[in-house]
This record gives sequence, C-alpha cells and structure tokens, in this order.
Amino acid sequence: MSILGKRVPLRAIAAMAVLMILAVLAPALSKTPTREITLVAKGMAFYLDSDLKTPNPTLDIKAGERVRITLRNQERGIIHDFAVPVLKKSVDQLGWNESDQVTFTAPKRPGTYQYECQPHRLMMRGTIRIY
Amino acid sequence: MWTMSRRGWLQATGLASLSGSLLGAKLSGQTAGQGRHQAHGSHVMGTVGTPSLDAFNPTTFLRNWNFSELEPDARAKFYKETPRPDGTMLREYEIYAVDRDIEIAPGLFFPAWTYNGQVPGPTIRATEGDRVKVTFRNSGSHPHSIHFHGWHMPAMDGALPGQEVFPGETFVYEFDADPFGLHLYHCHTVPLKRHIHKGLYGTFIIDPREGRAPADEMVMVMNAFDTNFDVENEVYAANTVANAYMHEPIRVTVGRLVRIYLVNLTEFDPINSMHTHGMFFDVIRTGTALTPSERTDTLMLCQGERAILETTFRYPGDFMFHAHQSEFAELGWMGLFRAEAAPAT
Repeated sequence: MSILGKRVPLRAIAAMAVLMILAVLAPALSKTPTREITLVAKGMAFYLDSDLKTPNPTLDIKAGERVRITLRNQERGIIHDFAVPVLKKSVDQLGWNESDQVTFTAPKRPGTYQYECQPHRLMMRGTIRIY
Repeated sequence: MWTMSRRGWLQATGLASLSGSLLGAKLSGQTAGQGRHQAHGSHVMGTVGTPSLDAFNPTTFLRNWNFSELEPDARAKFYKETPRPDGTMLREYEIYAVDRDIEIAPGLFFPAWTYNGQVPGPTIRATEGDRVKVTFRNSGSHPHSIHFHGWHMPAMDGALPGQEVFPGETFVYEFDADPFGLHLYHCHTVPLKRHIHKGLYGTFIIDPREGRAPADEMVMVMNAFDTNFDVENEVYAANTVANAYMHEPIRVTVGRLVRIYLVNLTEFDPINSMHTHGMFFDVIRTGTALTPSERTDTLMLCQGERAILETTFRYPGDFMFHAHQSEFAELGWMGLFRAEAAPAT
C-alpha cells in the first residue's frame, strides 16, 4: 500500500488504527463508573428502593464520584423532590408515581452534605457522606 | 359571570365519572351494570364507583384512634404512651401539616391542607387527667397551628396573635386532658374558615376516668368541600369521602351497643345534622356527661359542635343515615349501617 507515494506496511497502518480507536475510547474507559442510587418518597420520608425500612438513609459516596440519583414518588397526592442544596442540584417536583433523575459529581473533599425534599425539608432530609 | 348550580355541578362530575366508567368497561370488554344506571340516572343516589383507598380509607378511619390502624413500629413514630405514677398516662403525638390532593369523590381531587396527610386528621384519644403532648411540625406551604378544645393555658391555645407555626417550624402543645367529653382540634390561623375548610381538623376524645359501657365505637366527622372556592360547599360527607359508607356499609351487630362520636366540622353552612332510619338514638351533648339527655332520630349540630350518639340495632338489615338537609345528603352525606345478627354462641 502507498500513502503520498510512499510504501507503508499494512502492519503499521493496522497499529495506527488501533491507537486511534484507543485514543477515542480512553477518556471513557478511565472514568469511574457512575454510582446509581434509587430513592423512593413515601410516608413523608426518603427510602432506598433496596431498603424500605430505613427512613432518610445516609448516602455514602466517594469523593469526586459521578452520581445519578433517581427519585420515585410513591405518595399519592403529595408533591416531592430531591435536592442537594450545596450543589444547587435537584430533580423536578414530582407527583404520584412520577420519577426524575439528577446527576452530579460528588465534592472532592470528604465531609457531609444535606439532601432534602425542598417542600418538606423539616421531615424529609438526610446526609450525603463523602469519603 | 357564568355560574353553575351546586347540584348541576355534581351531576356534571358524576356524569363525567360515569362516562369514564363506561369507557373503562368498554375497553376491558365488560358489559357490567353501569349502563343500566344511566338509563334512570336521575334516580341514582350517590357517586358511581369509589376513590382509591390507599391514601385514606373511611372504614379504617371510623374505628381507629391514637394511630391504632398502623403496625406497631410505624405507630411508634406517631404515638407513644407512658404510664405515670398516679395511674394516668403521658400521651405523646407527632402531628404534621402537609399539603395533599385528596380524592373526595371518584376522580375528584381537592387540594387539601392536612394533618398527617389525611382529612379528618388522626383521632386523638386520652383519658381524663392524662397529659397530652403534641409535637406539631409544619411541613405545609402556609403558617398553621393546632387549637385544641378543652382546658389549657393561653400559651397552648394556638390561636392567639403570634402563635402560628410557620412552614419549617415546630411547636409542642402540652396540656392535661380535661374535661372528659367529645372535643375537636383544628388550625386557628387566619383566614380561619379557609384553614379549617381546607382540611385542618380532627377529633379529640377524652374518656371519663370511670369509662363508658363497652360498645362498638366509631368516629364520624361531618365535613364538606368547597371545590371551586366560591364560599359554598359542593361535596358533603361523613369522614370526607362522599357516599363512602353507601359503597361500603358500616357493619354493626344486632343487640350490641353502638356509640358514635359525631363532630361537625362543616364550614360555610352554619349547621349540619345526622338522621338515622328505622331507629332512635340517645344523645350526650359534647360528651360531657355519663348519661344521655335526650332521645331523637335527628340531631342538629352547629359548626364545631359535637355529640355522642348511642343506639342498639334491633333488626338485621340496611339502615340509612344522612344529613336531614336533603341537599347535603344528595351531595354525598349519606351512608348505610348493615346490621347483622350476633353470631350464635
């Protein structure tokens, strides 16, 4: 095969192609996977959908980790949301049986941050612990 | 401005819900009885179908107090009783205010302000001399309060200037249960009629120390809803859901004493009433006596007035009860007792 009149071995072209593909994929591969957390709102409290016994659970998240939080409102007739005020992130206000997601990058510094339901923060709030 | 009569309005919504049911029946391939109702719809009393019961169940509400309808660990979040050295109880309650859309007739949602997500609020029941401590958290969108009827100091009144609890704030009401009787509690924040009418009220029973005769006891709150905010009610009920006890009659036993704690929390209409078919009942006004003062089959109560009704069913079968204001009855304040013979022993 020749490029611009110079003969180039096929093997070199193949190697280049592999490198180019890797270059495109590299950032995605090196990123930590997004942590998925699904919460349910019911009885004026948040619950993990994997643990419907513990109200307003503490959410442990690694520093700098990508997090996607899904809230499903299972309380008929009451509007709920999920917000992390310090990050200015929240899902939409949800009616019964509605869901929404919010994605954010956890703070780089370990510490604790409050999450809450904005209309009901008096009762529906918990802690995000960054470790 | 175009206005609609109250009855016309309910008929319209009734028809809407009827056509909805017909559509549902068609879609699911059923040819059930709904169509027959339509043929003589003007004779049908009450609503077609029932609201969802998972947010509020009038039958469950009827015979539960102090959160007794909840499982023990769920109940512990809202109610705790601690015996005191003198034989009385400390009764502690968690009450919160929250905005909630409640279904008062099939498919008809009312944007309520509620205590603990329900209208009427949870029934609170203590014995004369107990200490009652209520932690009130306002998770609603407006300032609210709880004003209990009964003896208490002004600081616990919830009605005086500056006693409103703002959204996000908490207040603890504490007082002795006195006097024994049938009382009520409600929000006392201005505009008062709106705060009460939106759903912030409940029943507060104080039992006499010596108790009353054993009976099948139930709580009925006569209430009504102004769904279009014209300062008139469009839907009436006992315990919020129009005609709930027509669809699910209240089961009672022939020969067993029945005691009804009847509270009138209707706004806008100055009075409400309860009339029973095929029987008479004894009346203890405000519940502040141990013996009845009168016998009747129709009792009129002013706003905020209440009475204990006692009767014993003589015959098995269905017995209507409703407001004797026929208009209220036809707009939802009507139900049935279903009396059954006592099981053979």
